[in-house]
Amino acid sequence: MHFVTGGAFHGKAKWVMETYSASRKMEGWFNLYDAVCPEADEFKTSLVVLEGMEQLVKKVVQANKKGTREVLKKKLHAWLEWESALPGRRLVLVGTDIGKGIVPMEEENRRWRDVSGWFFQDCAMAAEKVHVVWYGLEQTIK
Amino acid sequence: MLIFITGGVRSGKSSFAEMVAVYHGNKGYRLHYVATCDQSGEEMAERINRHREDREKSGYAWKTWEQPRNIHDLCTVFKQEEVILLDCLTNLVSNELFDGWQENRKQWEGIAFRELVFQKIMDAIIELEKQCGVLIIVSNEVFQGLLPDDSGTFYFMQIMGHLHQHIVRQAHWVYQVEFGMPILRKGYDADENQCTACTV
Repeated sequence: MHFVTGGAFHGKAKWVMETYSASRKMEGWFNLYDAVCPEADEFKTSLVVLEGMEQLVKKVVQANKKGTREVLKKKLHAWLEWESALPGRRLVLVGTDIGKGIVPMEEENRRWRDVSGWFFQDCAMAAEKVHVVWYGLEQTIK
Repeated sequence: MLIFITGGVRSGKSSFAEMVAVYHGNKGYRLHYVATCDQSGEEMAERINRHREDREKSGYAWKTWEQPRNIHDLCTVFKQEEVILLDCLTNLVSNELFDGWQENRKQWEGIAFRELVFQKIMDAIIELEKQCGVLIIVSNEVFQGLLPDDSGTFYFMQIMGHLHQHIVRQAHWVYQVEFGMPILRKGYDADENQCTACTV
């Protein structure tokens, strides 16, 4: 699994498209801004890109008062199992880092931000490769 | 040559940018300062004065241009051997994008207008760089927190992000200034005539 993160509007998705010769329109690219996050058994292609991990976190935070990190971890493990089940499969997770601003006023936004940070740690821990994209330039952190 | 310098507020990016300008100015290039902030408000006037005094004390002959919008108007005034410091992109984008807000004209809500603003600024940057010897652009990091709910801020961030990506791709040198210390993110090798990203 390859985890790609960085600030908003920094060209993360573009970098993934260039790195993997992929496109947002291809089957297997899921944009979580407008789509429901797919389960692993819905992955039909060898390359799967999930864009907008922070949006998934937001939905999980809205739906659950507690145990959000575990719900997300469970999803992550199911995806990783899918990836390791057959050679040649590749999962790419793209998430916007929302953790570097001032503390949000609303409780839900605070939880969104906290859980995003924790979940991104889990993603980075599980990933083979981690890149931070800064205005199109990549930095390898793992 | 295009040099891009970014950093947080009060990170020392303007002072560093002035040093870079003076370094190139030492080669005999004339120094121009393009100020993009609207001079309203006491707080802003104080900062403008402080930066202006710094430039005067530097002992170099700076010429200041106040250009809160339409930087392409300046495209014909510079010469090949001159150094332009544009400070800063953030104000320029804000002035262009929110132009007419006092009259409640919410132009930024239209995608065509936003694309126009992006193109206008990017074209002017490329044109200015062609006209002069060295163009230095200073900008702000404004992408540190949650995505904003209000459309004006969202579109502002979007345009800033796209401009930063395009400028970083075009630039020969890219610096991120943190607490007064410049970090080189992309550098230019004159012998090989190519730019490469630097590992940070």
